[in-house]
Amino acid sequence: MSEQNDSNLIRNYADGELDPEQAAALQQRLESDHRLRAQLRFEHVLRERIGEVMRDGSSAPAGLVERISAALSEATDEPEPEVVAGRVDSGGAVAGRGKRARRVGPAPMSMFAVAAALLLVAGVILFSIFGEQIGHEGNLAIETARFVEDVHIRCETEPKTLAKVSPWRARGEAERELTRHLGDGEVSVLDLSSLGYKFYGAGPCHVPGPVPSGHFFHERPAEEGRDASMVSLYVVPDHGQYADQIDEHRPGQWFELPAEPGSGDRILGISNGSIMYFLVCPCHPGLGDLKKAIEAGLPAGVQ
Amino acid sequence: MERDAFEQIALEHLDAVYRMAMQLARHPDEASDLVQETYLRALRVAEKYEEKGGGIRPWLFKILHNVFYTRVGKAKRQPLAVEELPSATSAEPRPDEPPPAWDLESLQWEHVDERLKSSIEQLRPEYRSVLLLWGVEGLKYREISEIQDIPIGTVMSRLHRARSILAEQLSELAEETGLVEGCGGDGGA
Repeated sequence: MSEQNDSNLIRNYADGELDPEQAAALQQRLESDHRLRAQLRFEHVLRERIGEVMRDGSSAPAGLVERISAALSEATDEPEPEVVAGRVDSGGAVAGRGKRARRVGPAPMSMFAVAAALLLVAGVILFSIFGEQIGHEGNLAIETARFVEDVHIRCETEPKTLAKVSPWRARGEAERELTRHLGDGEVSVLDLSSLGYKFYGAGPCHVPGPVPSGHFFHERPAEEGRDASMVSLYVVPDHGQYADQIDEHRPGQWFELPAEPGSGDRILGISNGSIMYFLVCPCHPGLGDLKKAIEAGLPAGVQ
Repeated sequence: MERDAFEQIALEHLDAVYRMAMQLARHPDEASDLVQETYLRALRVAEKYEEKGGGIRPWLFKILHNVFYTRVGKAKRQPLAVEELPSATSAEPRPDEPPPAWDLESLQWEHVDERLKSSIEQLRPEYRSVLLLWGVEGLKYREISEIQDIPIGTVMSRLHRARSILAEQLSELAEETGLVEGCGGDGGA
């Protein structure tokens, strides 16, 4: 098991977040591995010190409790609108905020309430059928960023997930199957070996939008003085679906989608005219080299 | 829940809520405003509060989080040209750092608290907030995930990275100043 995985295991164990089976297995290893025991002690002390130094001197300022207490009293004393089926009556104070508004009915407006409810039900049904497409209108790039970031993080932190979503482990198989899956342009596994990354596997995925998509994962093992890291690359046939959402969108032009509010990864995109590539990778100084390696490996169209 | 009961229970956590508000807003006045709005909103929906075993604090944190991100706006996720974003080689914390130095177990902590605090302050906000919910407020990964409305895997990833960054910076400090006692390890090293 890599040093990085050990590190994560120890931290999860220290936090009481491992399941009993994993915890028991790690306890056995701890008995014979002084290095792991040392890290475990370090993690305990680090958490304790973080609590100490960040709690220190950061209590609420004088007067805040009175200010909030007054605001809560004021809010409670405000007249609460009385809710009647189908309409809102702004008159009449309701004593005690915690009480439910008095519901009376049926009132003359109730038929509108029934109509509204029917429309709501219809809307729910329509959304369940068309929701994905409706939700993406004007927002496909953003939805894509969210999707690829979530998949990347899950695969980076959950080896089982990574294995599950990457059924094609051999390069040839991955290229053949993904090209067939996308049905629109040839897909190649990029060679990132010069940057220390090894191809892990590929598989189909469900990037938001109307076309099939797939992903590749490349891993770089931990080395002396360097953590393990992972790069994931998502491929989607480019039918111009992103054209009006991304400035500077043209073949060969990199663009970036910011993460929600930041996961520490970067989400970059580039198209070769027929396939759109979304890259999720850690922020590190080698990003420029990674981009060059990807550009060099893309089929014709990018330059 | 009646106002009096709510006030009594919720105000017990005022320091913790304010502390987290400060981490989000980074300014005392804004933090106080955030806290006030959080409590008002919490009172409005107090009927919906369900005790899940962790007390009311995680629920207050979740409301605080929602209030804060509603305030800062929803325009964060707009596609930008690469040139508009910070350089990948900028001085922001690098998650791709060397692994933690285990021999830091023998660090003389009393000498490093200032550096630790400074390192935490310099973390990216998304790392810092997860780290503080975990390290200061003692919350579980699942609670943090619910508060921040992010997958639990994201919580773990951010937390691991934040700790790696801190360990790396403490390791550098130890090397610079010789604050490590002896050879570390477990007596068997």
